[in-house]
Formats: sequence, structure tokens, C-alpha cells
Amino acid sequence: MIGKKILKESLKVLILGSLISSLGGFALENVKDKILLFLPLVIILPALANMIGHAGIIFVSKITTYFYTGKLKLNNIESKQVMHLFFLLLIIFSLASVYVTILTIFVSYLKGFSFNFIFGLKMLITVFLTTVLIVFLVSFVAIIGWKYTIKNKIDPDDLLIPITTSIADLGSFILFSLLVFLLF
Amino acid sequence: MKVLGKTKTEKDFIEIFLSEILSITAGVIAGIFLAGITEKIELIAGLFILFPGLLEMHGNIYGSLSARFGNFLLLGNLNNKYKLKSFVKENVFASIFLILIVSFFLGLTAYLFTFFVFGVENKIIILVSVLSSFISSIIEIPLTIYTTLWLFKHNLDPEDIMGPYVTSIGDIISILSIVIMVGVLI
Repeated sequence: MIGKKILKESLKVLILGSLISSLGGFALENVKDKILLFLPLVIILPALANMIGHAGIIFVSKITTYFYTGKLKLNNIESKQVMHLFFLLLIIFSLASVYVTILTIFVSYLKGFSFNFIFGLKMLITVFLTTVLIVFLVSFVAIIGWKYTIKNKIDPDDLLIPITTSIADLGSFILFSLLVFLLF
Repeated sequence: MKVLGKTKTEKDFIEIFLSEILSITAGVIAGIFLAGITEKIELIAGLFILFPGLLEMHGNIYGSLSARFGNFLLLGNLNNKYKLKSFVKENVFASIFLILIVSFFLGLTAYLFTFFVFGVENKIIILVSVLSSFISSIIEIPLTIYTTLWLFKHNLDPEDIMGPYVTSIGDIISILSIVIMVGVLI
């Protein structure tokens, strides 16, 4: 019973989500030559994809728990608690973007990649802007989608996490690819 | 409200931030593996198209699995052995089925994109997608379930930790599976 419900709720949305994410991948494929030229840009890719997934999972599962435990009402989604969660994620992910940039450049340096201050700055701008966009996109899509799932009695964990992260994937990788194209 | 001497915000900040730092570090490790096959990436058309979707799929399926399991535990179902066993069994089968179907669609999408947009035919990308996903699911599914349970039993909030944990471990395992599959097939 549970399995059928999961498949019914998840399959279509996962396929749709994958197709949306692939569009983000298509943007990456277009700047593949530039990315492969700079080692840190290759190394940072999984971490970046990772951060998109985390933001989506944390935001959706938190607001779902707030709802199930009675801390959040359907007609009050833009509550103080949700805004608080948004700013918390914004701060955490901004700090994380600085950390991931420094770590990636350091690892690349150990692997023989020579870099200068300008490269580091370009990389930081690219990662920071992409990360901020991730938090905005995830929160925006999650808030809109969450109302829909609750109204239609669909488990937000099944529907919303894939859609939120896929749209964030698309937006973030397009912005990342664009910044790579423009700055590097 | 105070939990273990800390406010809920402080607890959330520390848990999310630390797990984020750990998972980013894991993501960078995955990136090092990826950097090891840059020459092959150049040869395999469509791998970058496949990439975000494949990593997201892992995060989505195992993230949802973990979130469902976390909610199941938070609702006080841990001591009902029959309910627990049935819940885990159905979730495992559903997750494997989803992985196989979605990875096939992802591979097919990457194949069609490269064929129609770049004019390159590369059927192997479908095999890389399905086989690498299957290999990684054998490791990731039990790991997700046991870790969620362990965190819950140790009074840690699975919702704060499992998202980053699932996706970062998933990234390393997925990329290693891709590296293996690329090595075997190309």
C-alpha cells in the first residue's frame, strides 16, 4: 500500500524533475570546454549540486514537520517561522559558499593547479551568487508548491522535494554556466 | 524554547551548518574523483547533461526516503515492529524501482539531447546512467535507513542532518559508480 502510494506520487514527478534538471545539465554541457579547462570548476560541481539538494530537503521537510506538529497553518505559510527558516538557510549557505570556494581552490592547488587572486575572486563571485540564488529559488518554489500539495492531500516529502530541487538545479546551473561563460 | 541548553535556532544552526560543512567536504572529495576522469568526460558526450539530474535523483529519492522514515519515527512508530518492518520493506522496493526507471529516463534524455542538439550518437550514456544508479542504490538504501534510525535513537533531528548526509554520501558513491561504469564501458 505504502509502496504503491510512493510510486504513484513520486514517479511522474521524479521523471519531470529529472527532465528539468537535465536542462540545467544542458547549460553545463554548453560550457563544458571552459569547465574542463579549470580544475576547480570541475571539482566544485558535485558540491554545488549537493547544496541545491540540501536546501530543498531541509526547507520542505522542516515546513512539513511544522505543519504536522501544528506550528504552521495552511493559510499562514508566510509565517514568522518560515521567514526565520529562510534567513537561517541564507546565512548558512552564504558561509558555506565561501568555505567550498576556498576548499576547492586549495585542493586544486594541491593537485597542481596554479591560480591567482583574480581567479579566486571570480570563483567566489560565481559560487556565492549561485548559492544565494539556490536559497531564493528553493524557498519560493517550496512555499508555492507546499500549499498545492497540502490542498491536494499529497505528501510534500514525495512531491515537493524533487520539484523544488529540480527547479533550483535548472536555475542555479544556468546561472553558474552563464557566470562561467562570462567570467572565465 | 531550549533544547539541551540551546535555543531551537542555535541547535538548528549548528546542526545544519556542521552537516553542510561535512557534506560540502564530501562533495569536494566526489569532485576529486570526477576530476580524475576529465579526459574521459571530454570523450563522453552528454555526461554533463546527465550529471545534475543523476545527482539530484539520488538526493531526491533517498532524501524522500529519509524524510518519510523520519516522520514515521517522529510519529512514535519505532516500537511497533510489524509496522516498522512493513514500512521499510515497501519503501526499499519503491526506491529501487524509482531509481531504475528514473535513471533510464535520465540516460535517454541525455542521449536525445546529444543526438539532436550536438549531432553525436552515444547510447552508452543510457547504460552509464542505469548501471551506476543501480550499483549505488545497493549501498545507499541500507545506509540511509540505518543512519536515520541511528540519529533518531541518539536524540538528533534526522531532518537537519539526513538531507546533507544523504546527498553527500550519495554524491561520492554515485560518482564512484559513474567512474567505474565509464572505466568499464569506455
